[in-house]
Amino acid sequence: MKSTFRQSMAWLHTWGGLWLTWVLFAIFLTGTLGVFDDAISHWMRDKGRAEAAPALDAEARAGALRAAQAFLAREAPQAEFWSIGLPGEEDPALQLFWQRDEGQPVENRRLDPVSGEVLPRSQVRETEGGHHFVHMHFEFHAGKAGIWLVGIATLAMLVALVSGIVVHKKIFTDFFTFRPGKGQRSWLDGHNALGVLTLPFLFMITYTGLIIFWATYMPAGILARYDGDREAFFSALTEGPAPRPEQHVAATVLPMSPLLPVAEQALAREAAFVVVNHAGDRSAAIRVFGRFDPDADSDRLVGRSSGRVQFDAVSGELLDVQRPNTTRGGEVLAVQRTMNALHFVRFGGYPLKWLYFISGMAGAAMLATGAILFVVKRRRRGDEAFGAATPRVMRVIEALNVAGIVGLGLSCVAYLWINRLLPLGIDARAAWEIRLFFAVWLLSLLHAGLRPPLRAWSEQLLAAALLCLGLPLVNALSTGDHLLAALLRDDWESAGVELTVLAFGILFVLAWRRLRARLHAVAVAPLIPGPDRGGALT
Amino acid sequence: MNPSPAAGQPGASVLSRVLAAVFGGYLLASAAVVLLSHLLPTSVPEAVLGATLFGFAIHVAAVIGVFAAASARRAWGALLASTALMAGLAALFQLFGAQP
Amino acid sequence: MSVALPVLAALLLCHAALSSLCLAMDRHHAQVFGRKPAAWLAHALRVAGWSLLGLALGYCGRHWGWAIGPVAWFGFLSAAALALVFALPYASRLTGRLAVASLAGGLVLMFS
Repeated sequence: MKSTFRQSMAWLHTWGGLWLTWVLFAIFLTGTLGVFDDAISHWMRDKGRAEAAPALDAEARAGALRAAQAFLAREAPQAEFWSIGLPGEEDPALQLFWQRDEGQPVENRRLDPVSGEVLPRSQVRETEGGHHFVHMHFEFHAGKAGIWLVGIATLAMLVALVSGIVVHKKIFTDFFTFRPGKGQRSWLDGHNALGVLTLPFLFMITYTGLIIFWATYMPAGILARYDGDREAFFSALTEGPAPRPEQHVAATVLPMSPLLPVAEQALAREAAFVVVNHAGDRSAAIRVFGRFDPDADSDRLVGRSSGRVQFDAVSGELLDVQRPNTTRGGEVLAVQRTMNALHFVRFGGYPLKWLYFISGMAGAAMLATGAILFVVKRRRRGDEAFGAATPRVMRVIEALNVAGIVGLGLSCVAYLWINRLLPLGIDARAAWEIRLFFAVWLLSLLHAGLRPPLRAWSEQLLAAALLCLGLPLVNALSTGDHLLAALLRDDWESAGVELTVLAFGILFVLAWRRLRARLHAVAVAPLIPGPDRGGALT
Repeated sequence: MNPSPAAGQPGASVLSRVLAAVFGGYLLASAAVVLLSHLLPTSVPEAVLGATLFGFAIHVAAVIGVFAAASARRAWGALLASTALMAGLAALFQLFGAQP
Repeated sequence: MSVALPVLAALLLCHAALSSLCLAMDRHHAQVFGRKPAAWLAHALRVAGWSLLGLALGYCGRHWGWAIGPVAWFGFLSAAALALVFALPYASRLTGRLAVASLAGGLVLMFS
C-alpha cells in the first residue's frame, strides 16, 4: 500500500510544511523587515532631525575613553566584558555595555563624553528599533531555545523546498502561470509561482541561514576533532591570536587611552569602539575596532571589515593587528564568509537590499498562500484528516493562519505605533515595546479564535490597514516630524519607512475589500450547502 | 486507498518516522561530518568547517529518505547502519590518523 | 540617480527576456495573441529570451562586479518574473507591448 515517491513527498510537503508554516512565515517576514533594520531604527529613534554630531579630535576621543574606563572600573571592575562605543555621527554620547559574569544580563548606560556623567534615559527614545525584527527572525527573543526552534524550522524549510519541487511536476510548463479568481486553483498557482520564481533566493537564504549558526547546530566536528574546545578551534580556523582563557588571577586593566593612538595608527583609521574581555583578570585583552567606512570596497562581497587591534590589557603589549578590509584563513573559511555575506546582504547597497526585500516578501507570501491553500482544499473536500476531531483541529489551524499571517503583520506595525505612544523615560522602555508587541500578537490570536475565520481575516486586515495608513499621522502628532519634512530634508531613511508602511496599508485595504465582497456573497446566499458556510476562506 | 496520512500511515508509524528524520537524520549527518572532516584534503580546522557546510544537506537528504522509505522500520535500519558504518570509519581515523 | 538608472536598466532587460520566453510558450502566446505561435516565431522568441538573459547577466556583472553582479541578476530576475506573472492575467493584451517597451528602455539605459 506504500505509494510512489511523489506521493510520499506530497504527504511530507503538506504535513511537514503545515506544522511549521507559521514559524517560518514569522522568520521570513521579520527577517525581510530586518533587511532595513538600520532605517527602521533611524525612524524609531526619531533621528531624522538630529544634527550630525561634530567629529571628535584625537584628544577628545582619548578623553572620552578615559571617562568610560573610570566609570566601568567603578561600576564593574570584574566583568565578563566591557564594550565602549566611542561618540560618533550616530550618537554623540558614549555608549557603554557590560556583563558582570557569563549568563548575567548585559547592562548599559550612556555617558557624557566630556564630564563622564551618566545621561538620564528620558532624553532618548529608548528602543530596540529594527533590531527587534532581527531578533524575532533568528531567536524569537527566546535565546538558545529560540535559536534551535528557528534551526529546526529552517531545516524543515529546506525539506519543504526539495519535496515541493518533486510534487510540483509541471515546474517548467507552469513557469509563468497564474490564474486568478478560481479559488483553490488560484491559491495553488500563486503558491507555485511565488516559490518557483524566487527559488534560487529561497535556497540561498535558507541554507546560508543554517550556516551562520553552524557551530551551534552541528558541533560534531568540533567535538570530535577538538574535544569541544571552541576557542582553540576558532583561533586555528581564523588564524587569529591565541585564545586567552580566564586565569582567575586578579589584575587591573591599565589606562587604555594611551593605547588608542597606537591602535588608530595601526589601522590607519579612527577607532569606533573598544572591547575588554575578562576585565579584572590576568587574561584580560583589549580590542580596538576601527570605524566602519561604508564607501570603502563596497563592490566586494566579502572581506569588508573595519579592522581591529588587540592588546594585553594588563601589560599593554600589542598582540595582533588586523588591518581594515583584509581577510585571514583558508579557502573554506572564505566560502563560509561568502555565505554569511549573502545572508546578511552587507554588500551592494540599497539596490540589493530592495531585491532581498522583494524576494523575502515573496517567500513570506509563498508560505502564507501554502497555509491558506491547506485550509481551502480541506474545507472544499470536507476531508476528515483528523477523524472525529477534524472540525476542532481545522478551527485551530484557521485561527493560527489568521494570527500567524495578518496578525503578525498587524503586530509589526503596532510595534511602530507603540514606539511613538509609549511615554519616554519609563523603566525598561525598550523591553516594554517588545512586550506590547507580543501582547498585540496574542490579542490577534484571541480574536482569531473567537470570530468566524472569514470575519477574523477581514477585521484584522482592516485593523492592519488602518494602523499602516495612520502611522504618518501618529508620528506627526507624537514627534512633530512628518513625511513631507523628511522628504524635504532628503531623509530617505525616515521617508522610506513611512512610504513602505503606506504601501502595505494600501495592499491591506485591497485585500480587505476583496474579502468583504466575498463575505457579502456568503451573506446573500446563506443556503449554500456544505462546509463552506460560516465563512471559510475559499 | 485514501492517500490521507491517517489511512496511509498509521499514527505510530508517522511518529517513528518523524523521530527517525529529526534525531536519526541528525546523528547520521553528525557522523558524516566527522568522517568527512578526516577526508577533505585541507587543514584540520578548514576540513571541520567544510564538512559541516555539507552536513545540513546530508540531514535534508536523510529526512527525504526517511519519508520515501517503504516502512519506518526500514528507514531506521538504513539510518542506523550507515551511521554506525561512518562513525566506525571515523573512529579508525581518530585512532590511527594524524592528530590535529 | 546614479543608483536608480542601472537598477532600472537591469530590471527592464530581465523583464524583456522573461516576457520573450513566456511568449514563446503556446499557452501564454495564445493568452496574449489569441493563437499559438508559428514554430519559427517560438524559436526566435526563445533565442531572443535566452540572449537577453545573458545580456542582463553581462550588464549586472559589468556594473556590480562579478562577485555581486550574479547575485543581483538573480534578484532582478525574480522581481521581473513576479511582475510579469502577476500582471499577465490582468493585462494580458499589454504583455507584448510592455515587453517591447522594456527592451527599448533597457537597451537605451544600458548604453546611456
